[in-house]
Amino acid sequence: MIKNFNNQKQIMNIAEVLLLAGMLFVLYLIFLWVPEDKRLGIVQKIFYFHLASAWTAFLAFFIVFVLGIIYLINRNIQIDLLASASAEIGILFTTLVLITGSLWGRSSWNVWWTWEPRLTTTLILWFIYIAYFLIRDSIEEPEKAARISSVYGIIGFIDVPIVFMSIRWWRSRLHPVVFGEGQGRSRGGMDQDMLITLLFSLAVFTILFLVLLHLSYKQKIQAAEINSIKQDIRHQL
Amino acid sequence: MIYLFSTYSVIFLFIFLYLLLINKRYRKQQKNFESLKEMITELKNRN
Repeated sequence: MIKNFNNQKQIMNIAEVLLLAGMLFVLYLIFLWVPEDKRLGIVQKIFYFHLASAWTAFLAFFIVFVLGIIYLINRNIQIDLLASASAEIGILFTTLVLITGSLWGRSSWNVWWTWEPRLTTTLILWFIYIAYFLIRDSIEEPEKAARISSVYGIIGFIDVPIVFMSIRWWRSRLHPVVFGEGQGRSRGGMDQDMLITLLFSLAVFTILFLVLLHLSYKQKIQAAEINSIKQDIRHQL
Repeated sequence: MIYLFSTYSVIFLFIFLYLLLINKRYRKQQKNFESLKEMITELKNRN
């Protein structure tokens, strides 16, 4: 067990070093290396972290979805704690997507907010996962809370593909399609340099997500263990 | 330019705040752990 703990610590140390180096490198790429967009100008550089935040939020909610299914099969409370840590990080990055999107909207569209399909569905996504924690915290029995929040996490994930597809389904004029079909129609797509920078941003944000997930999960596990020992002792006292 | 720097500042600020939150929870846990130790000592004394 001690060996396992040391291995875990080593992996985390490597991840943290990678994260720091990767973040500095990505900032170099964004601010010094990648050229400005001809149409949008320097403000387009918001895009690299804005999209990376959205990717991290989607990844976090996907993990909540998968872990929800696993929890309902094996009823392991650790799985549920990992799912709740992931949901928490998902909310953090959805908040960042909404804020950075609003800043970008103000500079490009001259409005802080508009009820455009992608913005609206992202806001709904944020509310769904805020409700996830309200539900969790309102149920005292840990197993019942885990069961209900797992089901809710699975159902809540339905909004993620809707957010992704919203600009294709409802033909948004404001949000361009960056990947896949519809790039030409929406004036989306990007140069190779931009794509490289974006891919590095996505990789660094994925590492950031894993580091935050590990920290949050470790804390939740310890809290759960302490609470369970405390309850046992209270019964004996 | 101000929007660009605001964006990056907000992102790093929120990540920093989240790390602070995790740290605060760890500290709270440390207090819980101390009270747990007291309870164990009390239990030992009773037995």
